[in-house]
Amino acid sequence: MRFLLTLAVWAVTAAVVLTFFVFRNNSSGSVEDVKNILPERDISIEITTTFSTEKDPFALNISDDKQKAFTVSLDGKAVYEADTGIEKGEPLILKAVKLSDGQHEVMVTSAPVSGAGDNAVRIRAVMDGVVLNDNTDWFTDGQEIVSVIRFDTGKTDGK
Amino acid sequence: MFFRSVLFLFVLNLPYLLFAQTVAVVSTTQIYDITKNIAGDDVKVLSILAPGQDPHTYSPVPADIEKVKSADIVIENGLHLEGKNWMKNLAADAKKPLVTASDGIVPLILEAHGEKINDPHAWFTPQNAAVYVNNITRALIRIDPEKKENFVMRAKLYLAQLRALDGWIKKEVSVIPPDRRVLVTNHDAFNYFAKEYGFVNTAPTGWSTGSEVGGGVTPERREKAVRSIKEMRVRTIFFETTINPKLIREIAADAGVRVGGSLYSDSMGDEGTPGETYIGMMRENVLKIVRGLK
Ligand SMILES: [Zn+2]
Repeated sequence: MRFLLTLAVWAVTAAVVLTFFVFRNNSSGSVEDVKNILPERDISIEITTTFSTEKDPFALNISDDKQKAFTVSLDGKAVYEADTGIEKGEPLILKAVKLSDGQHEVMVTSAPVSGAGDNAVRIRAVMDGVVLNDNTDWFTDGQEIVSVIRFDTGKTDGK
Repeated sequence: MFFRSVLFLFVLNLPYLLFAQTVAVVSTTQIYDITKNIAGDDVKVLSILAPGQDPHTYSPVPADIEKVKSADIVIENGLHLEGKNWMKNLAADAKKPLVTASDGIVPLILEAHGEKINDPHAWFTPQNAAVYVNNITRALIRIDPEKKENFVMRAKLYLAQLRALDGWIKKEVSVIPPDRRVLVTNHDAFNYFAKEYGFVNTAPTGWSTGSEVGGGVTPERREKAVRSIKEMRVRTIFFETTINPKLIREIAADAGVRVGGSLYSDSMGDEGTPGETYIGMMRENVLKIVRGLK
């Protein structure tokens, strides 16, 4: 009986030690990956418009596909949507810290009220105080606004 | 023998069974064009009215009953544009689901002989046309959910075109001084357009060209139109493509003003004309109104 108990304790101890070594080896191998996926960087997207938004009469409103008057998407996924609250000349600042190294794309779509003149959207991508891209697009009155910028979080030198 | 007949019928119907297309039957030419823009070639769209026909006075013919029988969905304008509710009745008789494209629009109220009437000519602003687009898109998704992605993508493009149309109209009519924005036409079809773009409008014929309450031409209305033209110093008045221009020509002569050509109102233009689409008909109307009144 005592022999069996000793054997069991020994087996459990061995398993724990083995698991520790396996885990340590694996994690030491992926330190680089973890750094790439979650950079400790301060990335923000700043959007400034020449118009304020309100509810869009030309939006598509089918049950599960409700278009908002102002949307920001990052790499194809909506990260900000609103009908109101975007004010002319006041920058909207989105903090987007969890980005992998490499190319990213920000798209802003909006629908300003027509008849008030031409409109513009400025999008800036900033990482650790360095501007990665800064672009302003102009749109004629009544035109739907679709502005896209791309930036590379892996290439900070020289910028 | 029986088995062979069944097999023969099956083979005969095979193309239909394999390629059977969803069918939408619509009442007016405007709704036809809007629906086509969303449906593409995923749905067969058939219109009861042909270009130039008047929805207020139309009476269905046997061919219309057959068309509606083939429908998976029936789409009307609503707000009693279809005189005596002929499209509602066709759908009910054939037991087909009916969608009202103007659902959700807050109608303008017209007063006639002490009665309040909802103005049915809602499509005359791109904003309201966008409501039609939403209702029709939802209806098409309901009858053919597999094509949803196509319907949604087309609807988004069409809505962007309607937005551009609205901006363009605002810009173009801005060259007409506000005190000259008076729109005189055959019948009271342009209220939504007038309200959206800052016009005053009047017509010798009421909201309907038919015999409904508040519809048709009366001596008082004709007199009022001539008076308004003189008081407001209107220089140009317009007739409509679906209505005999005789009345407008007489009024123009009485009031001493010119006729600025024909506007598309309750029907779009024939195939091959600039007014054969909704956007085309709005564009051509605005061109004539701006040229006539600025
Ligand atoms: Zn009418």
